[in-house]
Amino acid sequence: MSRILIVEDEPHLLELYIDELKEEGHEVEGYANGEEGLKRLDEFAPEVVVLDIKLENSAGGLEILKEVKSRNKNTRVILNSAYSTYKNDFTTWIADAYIVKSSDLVELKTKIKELGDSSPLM
Amino acid sequence: MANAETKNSCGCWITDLLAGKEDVDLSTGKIFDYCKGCPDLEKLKERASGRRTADTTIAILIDKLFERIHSCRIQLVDTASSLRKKLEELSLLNKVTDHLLKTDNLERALALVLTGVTAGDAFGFNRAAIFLCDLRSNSLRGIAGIGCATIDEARKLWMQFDSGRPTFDEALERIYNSDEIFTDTFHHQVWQVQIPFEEEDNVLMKVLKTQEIFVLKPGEQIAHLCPQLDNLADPAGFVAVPIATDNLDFGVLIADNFVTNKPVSEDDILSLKTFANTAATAFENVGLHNQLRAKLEELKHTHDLLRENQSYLVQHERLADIGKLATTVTHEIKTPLITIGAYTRRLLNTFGTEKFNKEHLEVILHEVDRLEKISSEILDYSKEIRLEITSCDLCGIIKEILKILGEKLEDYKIGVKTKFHDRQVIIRADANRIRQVIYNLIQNAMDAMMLKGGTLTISTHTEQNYTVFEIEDTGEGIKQEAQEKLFTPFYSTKAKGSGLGLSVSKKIIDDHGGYIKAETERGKGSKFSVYLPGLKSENQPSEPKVMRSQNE
Ligand SMILES: Nc1ncnc2c1ncn2[C@@H]1O[C@H](COP(=O)(O)OP(=O)(O)O)[C@@H](O)[C@H]1O
Ligand SMILES: [Mg+2]
Repeated sequence: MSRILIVEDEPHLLELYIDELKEEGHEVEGYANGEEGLKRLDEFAPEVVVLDIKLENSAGGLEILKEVKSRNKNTRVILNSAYSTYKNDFTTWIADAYIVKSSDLVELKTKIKELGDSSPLM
Repeated sequence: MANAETKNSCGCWITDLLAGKEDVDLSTGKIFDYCKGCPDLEKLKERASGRRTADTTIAILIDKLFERIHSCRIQLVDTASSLRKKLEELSLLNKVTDHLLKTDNLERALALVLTGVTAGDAFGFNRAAIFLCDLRSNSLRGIAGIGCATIDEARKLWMQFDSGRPTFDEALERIYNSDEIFTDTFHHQVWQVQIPFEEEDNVLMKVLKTQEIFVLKPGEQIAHLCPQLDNLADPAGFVAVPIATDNLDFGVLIADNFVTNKPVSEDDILSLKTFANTAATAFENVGLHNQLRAKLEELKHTHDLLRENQSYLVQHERLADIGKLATTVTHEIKTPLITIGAYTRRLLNTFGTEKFNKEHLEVILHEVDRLEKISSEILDYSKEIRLEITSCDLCGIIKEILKILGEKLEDYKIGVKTKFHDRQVIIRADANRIRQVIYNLIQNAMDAMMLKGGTLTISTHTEQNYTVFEIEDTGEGIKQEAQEKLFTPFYSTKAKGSGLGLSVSKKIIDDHGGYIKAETERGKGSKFSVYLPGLKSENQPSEPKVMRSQNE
């Protein structure tokens, strides 16, 4: 069970992520934008951060990724994007996992569990 | 040991002392952990100070204790500073990455990487140089170097900056503000270096081939290991790391500490490796840019030829616009689609026990999944694909797909024939992408024979320098007006088609440097032939894979 912080600008999807992950037994906080999420980062000290990166404001998502990693490089970050080939952008390499956004949450849940369980922050 | 015998709850030496024991072992590291904040320590201090004649044992022990605390504090400071160094490296890496992302100029990219390695304190190597593979001359060539050729030169340069040596930002300014970035004598010396691929014993070639880091050991002579570097590499802290991505070997990065003579730590080497990996990807990006630019030139040329044919141009542009629009719309659609699908799944889990609900929800889910798949295809189509080239067996790939589709082929009453020109047909290609192409072609063939059944024939052969595979069906054939539009994105005659199968396939084959062609006869069937360039014999020598733009 881990502390998870989610940044996702689609409000309903965010709500669903929070519900489903809570049901898995995680402690979850979700925010609609990166700045709010960053504000909570130090206090909440999540083991896993899930970031939505969009093409239009990709700089935003990647900036947050860098900020999270530079504050604590042990925080696991999962990038959740609508594009499968975004992987080729090497700024995303500092993330611990990259998944293609899907209505099926199985992959997301599995990755969270995997990364949360191996987190040195527990 | 004294600690083991005490009945005291924290097993501590202070209690032992209070109890009058004198042979307390203070060398164990646990002491510090136990004693911090221990109320007994206060008692002990009171006892020591309450006496006229100082209790020497206690005084000495307390001294020792504080010595330990001190040394722990030093350790902490050390850890903190090494953490800070790591952070600095990370932020430097970020900075370099940031700038690399924005550049499409090879020279600038080289300068950025070399500056990252040499400037400031993060890595702080005194000099660094990059060697790249050049297929035109079949050799590893010095391409750029930053640093000083002599110690005097170094001193003069470092005097110009406040902190002795330039920080990354100072060095960066130089990169962006000067017309000629590489002017150092060192650079010109590096530029002269050329190491033929045949020199297999040369240490740089070994680094390139084995992809392993090389560090010069004390007493080893660089002249024996790589004569070309005799004057360019200092025995103090010399390192060579490969620059490579999964796709390509670019070359080798070397660095040394010839001014400060600082030895290279294990940590430095690891960081350098990370750095080299980043560099490799950046170069690949630059390479891709160059390729794209070349492609654009090519396109422009074609357009020139077709200028008379205005209608073609207009149509082409309109298509591109439609493509762009489709991508935007698709992205807008995909997100709510995911939300719908995700909630439906949730409903299915909660209310799916009733048969009636379950069926209805499954219908929604099925349709959503289909739309999700199509929108992913469209989004993928609009992005650059990066190939992961390996040696793979074409026959194996085909057989695998046929196995997966076996049942469906039977249902459709389609017989399968395969004619491979060899037991194994090895190609250098991105296996997953080729699989995607074959799958698309077979899928189309099946669609064409859906109503009446027929025969699917898959064959391979070689033609000049190409490995060819052909997928032939006995289906309805392709209408005249459809033939010109086959490979156009979003062109489909099927009710549920995305119209992307063939255009994605064409893009993949183009990226492999090959081509794809279609032949058809109405009512008799169609044949799609895919030409992949390259293989002459099965056992090609494993020469380094080299950045395209460099050897063209
Ligand atoms: N083997 C074939 N036989 C007949 N028509 C074909 C064949 N392959 C492709 N086509 C035609 O080309 C069109 C585009 O194919 P494709 O790009 O794969 O998209 P889709 O299969 O989604 O329609 C098809 O809709 C069909 O009209
Ligand atoms: Mg198709």
